Amino acid sequence: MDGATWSDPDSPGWVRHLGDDDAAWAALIRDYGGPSIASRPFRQVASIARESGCISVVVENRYVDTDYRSEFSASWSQQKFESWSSFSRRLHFFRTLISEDQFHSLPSSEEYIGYACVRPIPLGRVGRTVLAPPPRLAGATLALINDRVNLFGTDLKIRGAPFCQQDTEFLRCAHAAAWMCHYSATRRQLVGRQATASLVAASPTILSIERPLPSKGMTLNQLQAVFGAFGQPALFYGLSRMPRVRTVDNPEPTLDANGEPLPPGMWDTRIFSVICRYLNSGYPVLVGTKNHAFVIVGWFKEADEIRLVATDDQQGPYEVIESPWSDHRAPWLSVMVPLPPKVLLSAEAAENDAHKTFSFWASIPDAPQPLRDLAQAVGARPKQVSFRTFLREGSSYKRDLVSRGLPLPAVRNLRLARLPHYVWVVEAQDVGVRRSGEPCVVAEAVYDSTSNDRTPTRRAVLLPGLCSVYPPDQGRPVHEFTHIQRWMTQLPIEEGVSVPEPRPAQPIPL
Amino acid sequence: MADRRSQPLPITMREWQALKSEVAAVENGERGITLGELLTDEQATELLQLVDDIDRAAESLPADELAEYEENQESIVDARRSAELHEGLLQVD
Repeated sequence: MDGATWSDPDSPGWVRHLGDDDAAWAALIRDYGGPSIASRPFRQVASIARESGCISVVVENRYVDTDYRSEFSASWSQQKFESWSSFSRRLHFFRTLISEDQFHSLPSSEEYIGYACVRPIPLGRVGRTVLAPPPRLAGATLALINDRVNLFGTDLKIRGAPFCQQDTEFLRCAHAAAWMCHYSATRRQLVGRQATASLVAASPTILSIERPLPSKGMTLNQLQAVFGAFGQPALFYGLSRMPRVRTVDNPEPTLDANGEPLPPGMWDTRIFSVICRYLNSGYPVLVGTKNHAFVIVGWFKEADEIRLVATDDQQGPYEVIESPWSDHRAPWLSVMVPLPPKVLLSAEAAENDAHKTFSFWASIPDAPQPLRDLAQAVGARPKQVSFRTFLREGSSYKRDLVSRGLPLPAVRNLRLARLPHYVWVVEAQDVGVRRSGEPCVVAEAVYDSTSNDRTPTRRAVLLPGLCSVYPPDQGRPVHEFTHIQRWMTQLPIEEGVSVPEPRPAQPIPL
Repeated sequence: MADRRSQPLPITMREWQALKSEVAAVENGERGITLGELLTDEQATELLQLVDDIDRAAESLPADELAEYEENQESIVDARRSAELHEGLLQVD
């Protein structure tokens, strides 16, 4: 794209009225999508915006995008014979009709669908993008962030999953995927913001046999180095050996026509539970295949099957994956989950230990009946109890206790507990009532995220009628007898509806 | 210096309403009985001793279940180690 004509010095921006006009949308894609071999991401961006009711696009001219400017400075300005502009354009999608004489006083955020920065380069036009998820994903559990932009003096807010496209030379798919995870962490105030060029600079060249430019991608070791440098070292899972957890079935390998086992990425159902634990915690998950990396940002159930939602730099935001086995990128080989550095305990270790904590009561001859009932339900087939494990800040865990209908003595005991910054929460949910949105949690265990996978440390345990808190440093446990009841989950309920308003807790029949 | 523990916890209107409804439910007897009311003093003491040290109490699990728990825990530790060895050299672009 000609650097001389890309940015108009005499105009702050302009508006394109698209409505439901196919030709107008096609023109937008033609103008901003780039060559057809690399236009799919922008087409997906436009499609999502249109699906969300977009009728006007405000083009912010001569926009200084931190990321693109860093790429321009670190790469394009030094290496290219062609003259490319150092400015981007930022497209803002609105549900309402906007005229240019409104630019100084734009509509409220309710009419705002999000933005996409467009780079003035031949391949990889879509830079930093945050779009609201389309209406059809309203029931999905999504790892979204709150982003804020200022357009001509008006503050606009948007909640969505970050996205960007690779440019095939400086940023490759792995860079884009790592950036999506990083930007998500910055907007959650977990780490400071770094530009895309810093991400490339943080990738140790010594860990690859390739020359850095044009980039051939990143090794998984380089990805881990980048996550570490950006303050979010990643937990790594190889599909070839997924962790076994007592609460999740261990599948048998599927064989090919010759009787040889297919790659685990074609059959190992444990990947769903691993991925969903982190998505339920609000953390996006990076998936690696033999030659590609992309990010899973959500999941939902459809016809009793789990669907995953991906942001893939080659596909665009909010791509629905019917099944990992039939996915066009299959077989998946690895999963990386960038997490706060002090989260040392894995979700699986916490969940496995919680199963033991809830089930041993069946082996205690004189255990009270409500605890024996819990143990029996945990071990029952078909499942009566299902486990949900997620990471929470200790403070937000305490904050949400009251609105979940927990017994008051338990609330007091837990709010005064000494908890680390992050805790793993394992809920045992009554499958029979979970889908109704009624209180469904029958037991709960809270784990110290700084403890070790070999010795997960409980900080609190809620059993039917009993709340126990375990202070650090060998402090004396504090127990409170409570009413025997169920309480609300902290998670969205099964169909993905947000946690409803507080409801009275339900006594468990004795 | 004021004792920070004596400060009232911040509470939202939503939480306040939930608290009111919970207090009313307890006062109206809608919560049934507590676990403590089901137990004699001696039974309650025995129960709390078990809960004091759950790891020791859980040793009451049948040997095969305990072994499965240990094996699973080991597989969780092992999962990351083996993945690093076998799949660290892949390049994704």
